[in-house]
Order: sequence, then structure tokens, then C-alpha cells
Amino acid sequence: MRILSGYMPPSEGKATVAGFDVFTHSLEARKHIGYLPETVPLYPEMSVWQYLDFFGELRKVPNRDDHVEEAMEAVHMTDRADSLIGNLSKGMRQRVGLAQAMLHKPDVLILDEPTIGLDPAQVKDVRELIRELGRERTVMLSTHILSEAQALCNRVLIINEGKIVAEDAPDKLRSRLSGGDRVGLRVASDGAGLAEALSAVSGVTSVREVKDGEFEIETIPGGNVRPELARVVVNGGWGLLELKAMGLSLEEIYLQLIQAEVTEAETQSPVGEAAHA
Amino acid sequence: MRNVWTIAKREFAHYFVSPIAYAVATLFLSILGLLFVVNVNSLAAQGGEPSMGFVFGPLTSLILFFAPVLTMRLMAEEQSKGTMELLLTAPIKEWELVIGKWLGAWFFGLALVATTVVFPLVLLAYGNPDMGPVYSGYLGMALLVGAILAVGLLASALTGNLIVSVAIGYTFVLTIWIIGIAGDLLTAFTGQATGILSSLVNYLDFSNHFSATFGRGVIDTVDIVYYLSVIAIALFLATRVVEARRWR
Repeated sequence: MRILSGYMPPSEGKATVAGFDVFTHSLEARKHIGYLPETVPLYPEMSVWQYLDFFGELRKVPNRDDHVEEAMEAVHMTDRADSLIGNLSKGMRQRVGLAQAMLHKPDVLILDEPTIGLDPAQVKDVRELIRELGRERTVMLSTHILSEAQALCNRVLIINEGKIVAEDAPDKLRSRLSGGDRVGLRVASDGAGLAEALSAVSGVTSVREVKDGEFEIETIPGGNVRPELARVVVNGGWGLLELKAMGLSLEEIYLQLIQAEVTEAETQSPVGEAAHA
Repeated sequence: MRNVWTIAKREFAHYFVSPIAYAVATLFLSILGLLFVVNVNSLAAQGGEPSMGFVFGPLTSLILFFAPVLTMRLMAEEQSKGTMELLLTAPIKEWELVIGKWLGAWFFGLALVATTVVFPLVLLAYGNPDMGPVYSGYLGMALLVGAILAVGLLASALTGNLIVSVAIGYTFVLTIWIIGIAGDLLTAFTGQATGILSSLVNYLDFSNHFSATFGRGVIDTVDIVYYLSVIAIALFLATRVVEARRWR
């Protein structure tokens, strides 16, 4: 992320942002980027407005006042425009940082762990904001919270030891790795004999009894076998309580991928990307 | 150039939001005022004509003491707070950042020096001072302040820690300030005042270029070139240090 933002030169290979090499055309590339580092860099002695105005001036934003106003509105900080940043709560500071990153309406927003250290309400706010921003431009964020990537991103990259180990949309990643769909089933009885009956349904690859009356069924991808499963249960008189499609969580995918990699390696941060453009 | 101005403005304003500006200015003016009164009084009792030497002498020493304090946070704080990352990912060049920072500090230094104008005004009101050394003195002072702040800025660029920044700043500033003593020693040992080594060492001395010339009403290009080159070299090195940080 630091390489993409133009802060560090790449140790090998090359990176381009909006068509500009971040090393050879660093200044042009930087103009297209909004960046929020992991520890939000702020000047505590400045007011929110002064801070945004300063970065607006550095980035040569035209109609600076309007842009600053707009950015503050987007992060719901307009009423705190004259508060000193040093007096703001952590969540508010995060929002000021976000406002700074989106101030000049960059094509690409790079956010390094934007929700870390926030309370659940603030996390929700920031996520909503990111989702909004992602509608208009490319947002790239890194996170250790995989459910966040799952909830926010259109495209996920999992990086281990500096190498991309997986790249896809979260649901595609899920179905690709699980090799099929997973169905959860709960019946009223103890389910004796049900496993055999379910295995016989075409499209079912395996049936696992989680505990009495609860089953997890793996099926071939795309073959929607739930109606057939329901019929088997109802016809057999097992008493259907619950039948649901289950997805593999990103956590599971992540672990599977990492374990497939060299195991002695220390795990590095996964990177999620919400691509819009 | 607009970026330079943006950075300089913020830096200059920053001195006034922190108590440092007021603390330094208070100390500055009270010490100078005290010395001024004492010196002028004793000289007047002997029937002599007071001169600006009473102001410029202590002023150079005070600047020596305050410069590293004024410059310590310029770069080091950006580094420690992480805001350097934002500045270096904004579309500005390293030299713009460094020169802007230096300009901001220099403007503050000039403002500080400008407060001492009250002393020549007092002299004018009650006596008949030679105004030549006053003008040349302030010109020299502007250059000297610029040079010493540039050196302090370089010290600040070298570290992310304010205490270390001050320590390095004092090391640099004191070195070029007292290097003339080494020159004097060399002269004494070799017995010749015009040896290449001793004249080189004397040339590097910071205060030599002020007290003997600007302070006495002499404007010599050698001194102007000296201070300008100190500024240029220090700012150039600071820029390289900032650039080099990217590679770490």
C-alpha cells in the first residue's frame, strides 16, 4: 500500500496507478490517489477545517471551500469544523482522515485498516461511508477483519508472504474453494437413517452428521438440490425444522489457502479490495 | 512554488498556536532588554555613545541557543506523528517541503529579530547613533538566522525524535559557532595568521562572518556568500535525507 501510494519505491517489479508508474511518474500517480495510512496522521493543533484546507491547498483543489465542505458533509463532521483535531474522539479522527483522503475526489482511494480501533457503532459508520465511496470510485482497503472484506468488497485479494494467493469476488472465492455448495439441515427427530437417504439424492457429494438431527450436506456447485432434499425429509417423516444454504466464511478460505502455502511461513496481512471502476 | 508557500504558511502559523513562540519571544526580549539597559547606562555614565553592538552581540548568542529549539519539530515531528507519510504521498516534491519548512521557520526568526527594532528606536530617540551598522546589522542578522535555522532543520530531518533532534541541532550549531576557536589555536601554534588551514577554519566560523563585518557596518560579499552557501548546503542535505527515507 505504501508502494502504491508513492511513499516507498517498490523493491522489485512495478506498480501503476491510473496508468502512471508510481516510481517513474510518482507525482502524477499521487495526484490520482487518496491515502489513509493505518495510524491516521493528523495535526492535533489544527481545527478540522484548517487541516482539510491545508491538504486541499497542497493538492491544489479548485474551489477549495466547497470541496472541504463537501468532504466534511460526507463524513458527517460539518458541525465539528472548528473543533481542534486533538479534542476529537478516535472515530471522529478516523473520519477526518477519510475526509482528507477523499477531499480531492481521487480516482483511487487507498485505505489501510480503516476500521481498526473503532467501537462497533463507529465501525458501522465508517463501513457505510466506504461503501458509499466505492460507488463512485475505486476503493482499495486492507484489513485483518475478514468479515469486513466479505461485507464491503467486490474483489478480494489474499496476500501471504508478499504473494497473492487468491483473487476473486468473495462469493466466487467461496464456492471455488469449497468446491460446491453447502447446505445445513435440522430435523425434529434424531435423524436415524436420514444420512443414507440424503446421500442417495443426486447432486449430493457428502453428508455429515453434526449432531443428532443436524446435518451438513455438500453438493455439486450450482446444482440446487435443496428442494429435493426437503422432499426426502418430508416424505420420510423426519420433521423438517430448518434447511439453509451455508457459505464458507472468508476466515475458512483464508486458513485453507494459508495452510496450502508453505506452513512455516509467518502469516501476513490479507488484503481486500473493493473494486468499482 | 505554491506548495512551498502552503507549507511555509502552515509552519509559520504553527509557531503561534504553540506556546513556544510566546515563551521564546518573552525570554528573548527580556534578556536583551536587561542587557541593553545595563550596558547603555554604564556607557552613558562614562560619556560614550551607545551603539547597536549592545543588541547584536547578545542577540547572536541568544539565537544560537534558541535556534535548535525552534527547528526541532520541523521535520522530526512529521516523522514521529506519521504525517510525513501524508506529505510524501501528496503531489509535492521533497525540496518544496524542505524549503517551505525552512521559510516558515525563517519568517518566524525574522519576526523575532524584528521585535528588537525597539532598541535602535530608543537609541534614536535619546541619542545620535550611527545608522549604518544598524541597517547592515539587520541584513546580516537575517542571513545569520536563515543559515542557523537551515542547519537546525537539517538536524531535525535526521531523526524522528524531538530530543535527539535538539541534541543534533546543538551539536551542529555549536560546532560551526566555535570552530573559530580552533582557528585561533591553529594560528597560535603555527605562528602564522594567514596559513591555509587556519584561514579555512576561520572562514567556516559562523559568528566571524557577522561580528567583524555586518555588526560594524561592513557589507562584504564573502559573508553574504558564506551564509547563503550554509543555507543552500543544509537545505540540500535535508532534502536528500527526506528522499533517502523513502528507501528505508
